Amino acid sequence: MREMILLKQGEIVLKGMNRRAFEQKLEDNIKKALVGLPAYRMRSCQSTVYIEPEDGTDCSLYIDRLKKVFGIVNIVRAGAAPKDMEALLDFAPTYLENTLMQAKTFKVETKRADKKFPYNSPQISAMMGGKLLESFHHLRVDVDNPDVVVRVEIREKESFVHAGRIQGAGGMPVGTNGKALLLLSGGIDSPVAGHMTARRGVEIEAIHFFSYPYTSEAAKEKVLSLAKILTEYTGPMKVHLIPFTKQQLQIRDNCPEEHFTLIMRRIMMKIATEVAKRNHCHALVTGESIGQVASQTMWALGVTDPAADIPVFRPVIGMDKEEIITRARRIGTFETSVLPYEDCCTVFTPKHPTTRPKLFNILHSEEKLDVETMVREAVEGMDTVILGK
Amino acid sequence: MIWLDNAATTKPDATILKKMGEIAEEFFGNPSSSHFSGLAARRVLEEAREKTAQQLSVLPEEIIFTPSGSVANNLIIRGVVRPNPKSHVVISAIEHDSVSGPVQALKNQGVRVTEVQPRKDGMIHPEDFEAAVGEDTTLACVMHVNNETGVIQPIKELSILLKRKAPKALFLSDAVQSAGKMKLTPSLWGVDFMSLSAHKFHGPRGIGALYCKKGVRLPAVMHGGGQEAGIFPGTENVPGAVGLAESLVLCAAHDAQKVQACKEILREKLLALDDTTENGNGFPYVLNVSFHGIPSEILLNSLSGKGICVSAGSACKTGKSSRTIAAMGGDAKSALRFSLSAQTTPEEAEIAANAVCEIVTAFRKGELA
Repeated sequence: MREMILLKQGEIVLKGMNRRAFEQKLEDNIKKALVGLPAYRMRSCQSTVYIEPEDGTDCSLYIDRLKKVFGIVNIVRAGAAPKDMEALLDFAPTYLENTLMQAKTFKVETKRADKKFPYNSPQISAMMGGKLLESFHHLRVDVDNPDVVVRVEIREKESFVHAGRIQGAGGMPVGTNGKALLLLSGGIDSPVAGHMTARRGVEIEAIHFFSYPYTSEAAKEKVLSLAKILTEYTGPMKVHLIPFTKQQLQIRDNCPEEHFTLIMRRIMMKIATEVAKRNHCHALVTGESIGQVASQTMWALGVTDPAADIPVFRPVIGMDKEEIITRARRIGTFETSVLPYEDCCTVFTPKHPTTRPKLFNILHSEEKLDVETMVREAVEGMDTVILGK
Repeated sequence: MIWLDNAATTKPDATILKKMGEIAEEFFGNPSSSHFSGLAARRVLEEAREKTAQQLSVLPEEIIFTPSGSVANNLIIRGVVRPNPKSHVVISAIEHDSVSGPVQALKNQGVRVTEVQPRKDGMIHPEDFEAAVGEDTTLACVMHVNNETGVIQPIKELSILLKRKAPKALFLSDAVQSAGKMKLTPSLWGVDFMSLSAHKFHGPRGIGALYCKKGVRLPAVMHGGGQEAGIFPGTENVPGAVGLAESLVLCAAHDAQKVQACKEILREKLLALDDTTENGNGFPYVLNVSFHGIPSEILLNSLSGKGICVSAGSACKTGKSSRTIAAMGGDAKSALRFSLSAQTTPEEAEIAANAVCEIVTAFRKGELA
């Protein structure tokens, strides 16, 4: 009995002339995701990618990783049978036994891509339904609300039987939509923002600001672990680590305390923009959500946003903390995000930060700083690591 | 590197590691086998047990080897206390997680638990302890030397009080911090159980021991081939046991006075700084100081950058401030633990003390970068 994995592509199917390029990228990403697993065969036709493990390796091993590849809408474990009605009817009850033993009701749906097959879809469904009823006496047919939908697909080369599909990661293949730089803090929100952006096919690099000795080596390690988790979705990722203590002290010593966080974030934006440009990233991504903290009020965003002269994406802008946490749990970053290490934003936090700042006032406070030098020095001190290779 | 984190772990002794390697190669037989190779391994294991017992002035059959102090504590507490409301456990508020953890788990199963708070000096005072003990108390747990402050608890006094008020009660003293650093005499103290761990006194990781007084029944929690008196089944770690015994012997020759002298160097310099408080005192190997207004993590990171390793509270609880110091009413958020060993030199103490002073001064001036 042969079992294989059918990966159904999502939006790519809607693409026109450049569809092949999208498909090629998806195949590359799948290969990268499956590195290190036992050998398999892969082919692609009719908006489906077929993965067949060799030597009968269990498909679940592959599916766990494929669930994280963007551009795949559905993952189906299917039994492959010859294109012969007899053989198909023989094969299905054995292959589906485990699933059907746990169900009470079922229906059969057939898709016949090869119109030369001697029976049409309703005929195939009827024959298959009859065979399954004969094999499993406890089963009933229910076309409206069945426990299990058995699907028969008659394709060009062979036919498939499967019951149930697994939801894929959706979105578009990473690398088909340019590259962005993610501001990764070590909190809950930024990994989620990175994940959401990557899901739209955007390649991600990350930038992290650390304030040794106010933050620890362990805090830096934590950020790298978060980035490592993201690479399961994005593929290999560059992480730029920026030493930021000196700049923070300069802000603290020269600017009003209540403006500290805003000016710090503006400087971060400027440094990030510079790093983005040097690395061919076309946008910044942050985990900001309106009103979550003082530096993320509408007014505060209005102050920090103009510091960057490339687009700043904030995918979680309209999400509640609870929603962000749910997503963080789902993508597997939450447990790491809540490890108790200070991130550099919390060290010098003013007691009473301005929540309704005016850009004019902030720019005035900022005048005392040599911003250009601050940015240059930060970028010069940068250390870059590549994760997930 | 200057290692002032000896309460977290110590540098293993090279000679002992070498000897363990030789034993692992030569005496690989299973001590439970009846052939000559098994018997030889058994002999080596029993010699290690005898040596360990000798160091603690107890009988060899009172020593049970375990993989760690934590395992020893769990085996004792889980073995002795039945998980029902008839059981009553008295525990100090400053125990290691491997003692407070299983006790909390038993509490969730209905066991009555009374916690004894330390006073400002970090001590569990006999009158507080006595008030917590009832006639029906099953087990009392008070550690010998606290891992964060180095305060030495009056174990003998407490155990006498316990037995007077509750003759059937048993006493566990976690001696993980004091083993190898001072003479332990569980039989004189009158405790029923004691636990220790080799890596805290220049021995290897992965081996500890529990002392169970002769005549005291310790029901088994784990079941298997009956090794280690049935209390910790599993093929014995012969090289580990030898490593533990040898490191105990090695440490018995150490001079605590020398350690105390190093501690004094640190202590004098650090306490001369403004706004510092010492948290507990009495043990040559540990100095715990709060530098008010400076989060421990910042000092720790700065020292780490200079190659000096210390801890904020217990190494097992990174990121959380010290429960022990909070229980003493101290400033837990800014507490730093310097823990010494016989390998610490006066020069190292001097360098570390100067580094701390430099960092603290820079921080208070707002110049720390």
